[in-house]
Amino acid sequence: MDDLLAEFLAESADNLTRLDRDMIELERDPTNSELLNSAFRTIHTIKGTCGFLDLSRLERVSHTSESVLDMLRSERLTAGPDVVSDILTSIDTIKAILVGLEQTGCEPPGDDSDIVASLEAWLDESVPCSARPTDGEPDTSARAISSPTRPTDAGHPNLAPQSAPETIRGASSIRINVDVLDSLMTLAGELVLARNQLSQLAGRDEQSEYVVPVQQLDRITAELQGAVMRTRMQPVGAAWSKLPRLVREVARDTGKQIQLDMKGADTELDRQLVQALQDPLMHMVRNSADHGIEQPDVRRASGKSEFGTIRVRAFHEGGQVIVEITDDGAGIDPAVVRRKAIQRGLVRAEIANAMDDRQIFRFLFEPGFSTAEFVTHLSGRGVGMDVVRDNVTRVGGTVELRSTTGHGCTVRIKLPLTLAIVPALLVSVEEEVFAFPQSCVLELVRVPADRRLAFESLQGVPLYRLRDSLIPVIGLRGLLDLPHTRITEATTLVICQTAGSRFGVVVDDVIDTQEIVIKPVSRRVRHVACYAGCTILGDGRVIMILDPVGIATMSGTLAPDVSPGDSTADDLSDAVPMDTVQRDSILLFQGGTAGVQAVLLSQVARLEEIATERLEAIGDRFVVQYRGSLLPIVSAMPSQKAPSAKCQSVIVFNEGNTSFGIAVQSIQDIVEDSVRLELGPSRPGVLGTAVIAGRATELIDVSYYMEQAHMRPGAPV
Amino acid sequence: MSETPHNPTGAARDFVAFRLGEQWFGWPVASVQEVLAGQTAARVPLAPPEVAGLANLKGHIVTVIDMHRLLQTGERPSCAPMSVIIRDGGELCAMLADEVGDVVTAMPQFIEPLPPTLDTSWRTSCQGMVRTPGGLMALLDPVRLLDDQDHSVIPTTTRSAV
Repeated sequence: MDDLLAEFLAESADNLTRLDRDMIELERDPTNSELLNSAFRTIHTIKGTCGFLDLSRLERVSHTSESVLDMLRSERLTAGPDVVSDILTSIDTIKAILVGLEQTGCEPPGDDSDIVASLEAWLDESVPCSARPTDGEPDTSARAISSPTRPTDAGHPNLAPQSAPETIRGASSIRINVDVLDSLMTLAGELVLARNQLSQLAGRDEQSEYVVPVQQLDRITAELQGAVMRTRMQPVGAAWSKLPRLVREVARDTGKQIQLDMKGADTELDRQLVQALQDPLMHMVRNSADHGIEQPDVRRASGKSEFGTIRVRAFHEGGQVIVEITDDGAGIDPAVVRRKAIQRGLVRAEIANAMDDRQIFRFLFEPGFSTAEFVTHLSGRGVGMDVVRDNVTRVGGTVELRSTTGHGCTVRIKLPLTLAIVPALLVSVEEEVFAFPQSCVLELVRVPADRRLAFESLQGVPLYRLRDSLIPVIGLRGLLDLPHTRITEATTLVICQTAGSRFGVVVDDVIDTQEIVIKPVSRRVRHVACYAGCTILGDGRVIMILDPVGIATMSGTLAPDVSPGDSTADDLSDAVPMDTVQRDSILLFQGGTAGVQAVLLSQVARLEEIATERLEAIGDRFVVQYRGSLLPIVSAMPSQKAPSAKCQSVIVFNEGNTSFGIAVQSIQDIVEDSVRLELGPSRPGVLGTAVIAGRATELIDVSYYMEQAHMRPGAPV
Repeated sequence: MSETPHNPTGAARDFVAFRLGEQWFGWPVASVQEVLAGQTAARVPLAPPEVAGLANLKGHIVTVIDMHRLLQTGERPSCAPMSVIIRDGGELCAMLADEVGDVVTAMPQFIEPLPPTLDTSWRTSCQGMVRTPGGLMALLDPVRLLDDQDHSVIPTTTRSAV
């Protein structure tokens, strides 16, 4: 509440100073509608906030002067000197109250009957008017105390504004054009460069009398840079000052009981980011209140407290700002989202079934996913979530939704601290240095020369097996057309995560991590998608900042017209150029039954050859010890329980945190084709039959085998 | 700059003279910020051929333009050339030249149209020519030279990985 009050005071102080000027101008030019409108708006804003903050005295004065201004505006009254001085007096009264508010935090006591009465008198004097359309509120509050005395220009001695100083909060904060701050930032950067050169010179000779002054300069420069950065910072609380009222209104309209719990309002981030955050926050909190939190009786029935709670939290984590909106409402059922995504053709059923809940929830951020139909059938969550995602990603952030059915859901927004300065990873390729924004870098993988086998290739598209999944690999050297030397020595993979896809970028070396100042990329280079900007290093060198999204787009890992949510489904199939018909990488194998069986390669974690003696029988199933845990193995050969050959081919799948393997007779091939099921499921474990690579092929149902492996009851869909 | 080059009336106009190979060019003084020694530019992979790279000029990023490439006047000599720093919209560009001469004042009546037999790339980027003691000087048109380049740039096509 205090932040809101402070913001209100600062804003009102600025507006009132302008209002003074406006009113005096108005006296000279009584028909200037622009001035009148501006004056009306200022008072209207103050009045509106008063109601919210429960400032009755201020409300009464501002309401009456608003009414008079409204009459002036609608030309039922002319702005003569008497009216203007009455309004000025009311402005003084408002100022005096504001000063009191600032000093004590609550409204100072006082009687405003006189000024209210003289303003009221103007209302009565005007041309009678049946309706006052611009003001929704009835006049009763003003009428009740109305005792029309003749308005007089004799002034109101008892209201002499001797206590109202000319400026309110004027000394502690001023408004500065952002351009000035930006140029300050540039200058600070220049100073750093000059300092670096100087300290290099001074460092050559330890006896130099410059050493101490240069060290001092060093410290001051660093402090200056920090201070300049701080000028652009704003507490995140500024973005959520409107939330309490919003929640109150939703609660009142829907008859729910909702508590809003806000923590970390003083977490600072760049002002541009605070602005970008404002709308998404309002949106998500409204969603939580409107659709997430249940009615009190429903809550009671499910054993929860009648009071629903919405928590908004902001905090720093790893150089980023995290904003979390959590509610303890009904949550979202992933099964419904999954079904909906399949129905809408956002994802194929086989893939959707293999996705975990987190991936499924990403569909909520798809444009058009939340239609009226969806709202009525489900909780209605997802309304405009695509807009939320767009707003957040535009400023380099990410948004993620988690939900537990019956226990509510959490939306987590990650934002960079500032738009202008980001932590970056400096890498080198062929003597050239580039910067990766660290927000997109998941991890670094060093690949020694002798582990080159870790790279695999499918139709010329290189892939890397990172722990349990295959991810596409992009060579920065090839992408940027740098002089080519093959990957023979040790290389480093920068694993990037963009909105939806994960991929590795091959670089020669990782040099350093550093905070860099992002400068816009020059107009002549802007068409190159893989650059996010450029920056000047400490030694004065200019380097390019890479844009992982652009890299993915350029390499075809992320088709530009495919929204990120889609590509999460199968990184792999996106790595191949998109044809008009959706083509997939398909793994063909000999199961045990007659004919060829197939599974989408994107669902496969890895292929293993396991020595038969490592297979251990437990009860009626087999397990294999793998990296300290047990991997259950089911057989694709219904007739055969125990493997006979020396070595057993196993296709390993991951489902969330669990893995399992399907033992097959032999792996045959990996082909590119489009899958169109011609025949329906013939038996459990088969999705249907399709023509793949010119042969009738059974597509297996991975979820069926998963249930087998984990002995879960229930038949496959 | 948009008036007809051989308009006989109007005020005299000033041009900074610079040389590329044997040819002298004139650049309108109005958009020139300063003249410096050659800039060491950091190469930008995939940039258009005329972009020699980016340089750091007192904390500002400057796009270094190889004028030899832009005007197709042959290869740039390897020795450190001069650079004319110009303001191009909100950005700074450094035009690399072999030599920078004096400011040439041209009276409008002496600015002659370019011969129609001239190479098209020159005709589109020059607004006329003027005779100087050192020979004919081609007067460049910054708007057409710098802006039109943007449209001629072929967007980078999607490439395959590695």
